[in-house]
Amino acid sequence: MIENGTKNKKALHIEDLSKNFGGLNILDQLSMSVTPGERRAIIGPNGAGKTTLFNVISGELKACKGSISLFGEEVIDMPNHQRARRGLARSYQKNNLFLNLSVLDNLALVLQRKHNHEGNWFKHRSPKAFPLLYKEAESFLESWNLAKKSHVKVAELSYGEQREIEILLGVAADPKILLLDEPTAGMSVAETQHMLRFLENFPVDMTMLIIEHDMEIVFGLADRITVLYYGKVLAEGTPEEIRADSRVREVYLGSEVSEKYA
Amino acid sequence: MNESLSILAMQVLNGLAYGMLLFLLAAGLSLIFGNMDILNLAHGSFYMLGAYIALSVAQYLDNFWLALILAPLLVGLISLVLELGLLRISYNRGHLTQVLLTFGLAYVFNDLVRWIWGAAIHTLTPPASISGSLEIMGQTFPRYRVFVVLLGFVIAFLLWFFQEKTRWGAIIRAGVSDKEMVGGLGINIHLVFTLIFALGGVLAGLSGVAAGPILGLYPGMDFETLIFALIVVVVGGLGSFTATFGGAIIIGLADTLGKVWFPEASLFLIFAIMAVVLLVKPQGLFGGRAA
Amino acid sequence: MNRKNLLAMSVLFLISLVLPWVIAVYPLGIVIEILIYGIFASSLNLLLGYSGLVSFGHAAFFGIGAYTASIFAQNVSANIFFTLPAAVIVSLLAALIIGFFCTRVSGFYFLMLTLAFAQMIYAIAHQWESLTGGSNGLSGIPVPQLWSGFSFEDQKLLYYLILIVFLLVIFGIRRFIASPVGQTLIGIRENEGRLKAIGYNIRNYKLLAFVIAGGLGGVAGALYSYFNGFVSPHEVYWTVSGHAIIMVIIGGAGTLIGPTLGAGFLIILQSVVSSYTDRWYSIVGLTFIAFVLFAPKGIMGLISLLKLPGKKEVTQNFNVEGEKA
Repeated sequence: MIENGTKNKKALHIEDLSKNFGGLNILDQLSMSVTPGERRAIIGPNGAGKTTLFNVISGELKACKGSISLFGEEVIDMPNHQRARRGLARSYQKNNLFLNLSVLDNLALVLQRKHNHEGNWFKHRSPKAFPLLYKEAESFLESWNLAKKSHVKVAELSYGEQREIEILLGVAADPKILLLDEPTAGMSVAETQHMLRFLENFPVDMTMLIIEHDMEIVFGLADRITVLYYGKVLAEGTPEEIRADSRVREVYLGSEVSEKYA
Repeated sequence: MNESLSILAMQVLNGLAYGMLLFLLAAGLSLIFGNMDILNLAHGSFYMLGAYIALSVAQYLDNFWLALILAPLLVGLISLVLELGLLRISYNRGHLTQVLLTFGLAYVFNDLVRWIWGAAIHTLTPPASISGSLEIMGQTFPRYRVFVVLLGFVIAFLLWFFQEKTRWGAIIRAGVSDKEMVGGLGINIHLVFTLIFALGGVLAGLSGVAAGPILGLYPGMDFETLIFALIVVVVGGLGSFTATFGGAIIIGLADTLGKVWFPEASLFLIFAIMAVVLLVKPQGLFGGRAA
Repeated sequence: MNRKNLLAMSVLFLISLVLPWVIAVYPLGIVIEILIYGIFASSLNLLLGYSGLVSFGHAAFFGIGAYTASIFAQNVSANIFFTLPAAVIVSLLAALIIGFFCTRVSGFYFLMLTLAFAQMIYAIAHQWESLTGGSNGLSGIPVPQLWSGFSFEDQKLLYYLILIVFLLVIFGIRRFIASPVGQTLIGIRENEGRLKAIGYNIRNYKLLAFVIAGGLGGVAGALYSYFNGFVSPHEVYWTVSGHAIIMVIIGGAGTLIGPTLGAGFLIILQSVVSSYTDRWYSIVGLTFIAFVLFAPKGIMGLISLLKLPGKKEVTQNFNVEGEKA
């Protein structure tokens, strides 16, 4: 069982993963693995299948073929809530929040799950009844500078603030693996810098996969980079290796990056 | 032909006729649902209006054939007006709003029919040419049911042809699977919706007229039949007229034969079929889209 | 709860206590009906208002509760400690079975299925004559008793019984909705997909909501049979489900007392209108359409408009789960 041995060491191990829509192969026998604690950036041109890959890993889309294991456990046939309960969390490319609920209530939905209060149907969810939950919520909101907004409806926040909550809902679950789909999409330069500082300060043992277009974040944050191209892995390696890879330059990075980082 | 077999043949004909009525009704329902994401709860009302308008037309003009043509067109006109006047102004408010509006309309139509035609039970009389009975292979069949089955097949063929072989049909098919694409093709999606809603009204009206001589006319026929049409949509699945046709035949036959063989439990048979389909194939027996 | 609310509540409570002694029998009957339908609409509100599940078959549970209480009262005992739990248990079981199927689908498929199942219960009420009396229904139901010798012959007593149950249900719902499970149901209404990704097994929550709503619907049905002394298939007809939806929307979906206000609005309107015209259904339909178009947050929404402009609205948008508005 040598193969299983190596699988077990992986936070995420994907083999021969395929997904097609209407005859079009979005993911084409894709294989990759991520070691625990690694920060892995997924890059590739539009339509490379990055978001589809996330949706298949999280279980929101069903794979057509292949295997996905999380810390050695096969999850390909699991519904997405069970994968989440095994330590997988994610954020979305487009904000996917509880818009009519307050910031605190958004966060509480994640935290009550994490603290296993989600089956409690008789206690008023209040700071008095659930002190730990609310203390943690408070400290999250404090460190994300959202404490003043905790009772504001998410729909009434600015886009940048909503984007932060999008990421916060992922990280607050204290996941073993966090999938971030373009965390800085639509953010201003200042907001992006702000977000980058958060990302850098995430717990070191949290495995992180991040789809990102901002090359500064990709090269600044990632331990390793996977380049997707038409549903296949085109290249994989350290930032230096990817920067030096001629095929990658050709299909994706283009002249802009070569000039900037060469 | 021995007796039990001839009874069976007769019941199969009845079941097919009923299936055709359900098909006409459910075709519009699933077309509107599949394209517009609106579950039209006034669809039973369109069916009822078709029957009652036909009653008046047949009484005043003394011509069933005219009623068979005019009543569905009038119902189509009514649904066209409703789509333009009521549903269209609420497109940006989400589909639940629109479903609730159709539900409010169902109340109003139910009352209007009572008001105009009274609460008594009526029946439509088909002309002599399609009443009485017909002999096929030494067996007599009621002519009118044969007519309904033929009518159903003709309409089903026309709809199939329209959907598979014409440009508008292609647009509607695309609308079921991908609304953005239809918009992207530069087609006015609102116009498509209006036409679909009106076509649904015509089909429901036609179903009502055709059902008049078989099932009769009474207040309450609207929701009673709507529920069967909903079951047809669930069992057949969304996506094509073929799916609706298959579902309608199954439910029509099951209900009719069930009433003969287990009169006590006939309804359960229908619901059992629906439950099994939901458990085994939630997208419907012939449908492409998941429930 | 702030002091002003507390004061208003106490006044309301006192009024409700002395009410039977200051109003005549006919208006008291209307108040009782409002309380019964208030419970019924509030139970539907758990699905339609809080969870975003548009059930169109809630009459099934009203009917099951009413028939069960009546059948037990006729054949076993009219003691409410017997008939009421029986009605609740049978409704819960029915809701568990129907909910098992209905929660497998989402969006308007849910609506279709609940409607279809309710119609099946209606058919049972019609066809199983030996049990339900068929289309004649069950009449001559014994007056409910607290113990033998103490029966609710006097409508005033029945009023207090129903008032107590009503208050228990309303405060129970308030508590439940504030709990983590209740907040999760609101999360389902707001964004089912995200909630799944967070790790919630949505189907279990939907089923739980469905079962609780069904049980409370059964309570309303049982109370109705006490009040009416007669049940018929009409209690299971789709119009009863439809009326409950109308009450919830007109009153304010997703609010605690909105559904009861909606019930009050509809029942009072009916008793006023029916002395002038037979066109009651048209009036209900048109009123409902007007609310959906112009006041989608119902009476509660209108009330919150009257309050200070700075104050945040209290009601929620109604979304169908599985659909982004």
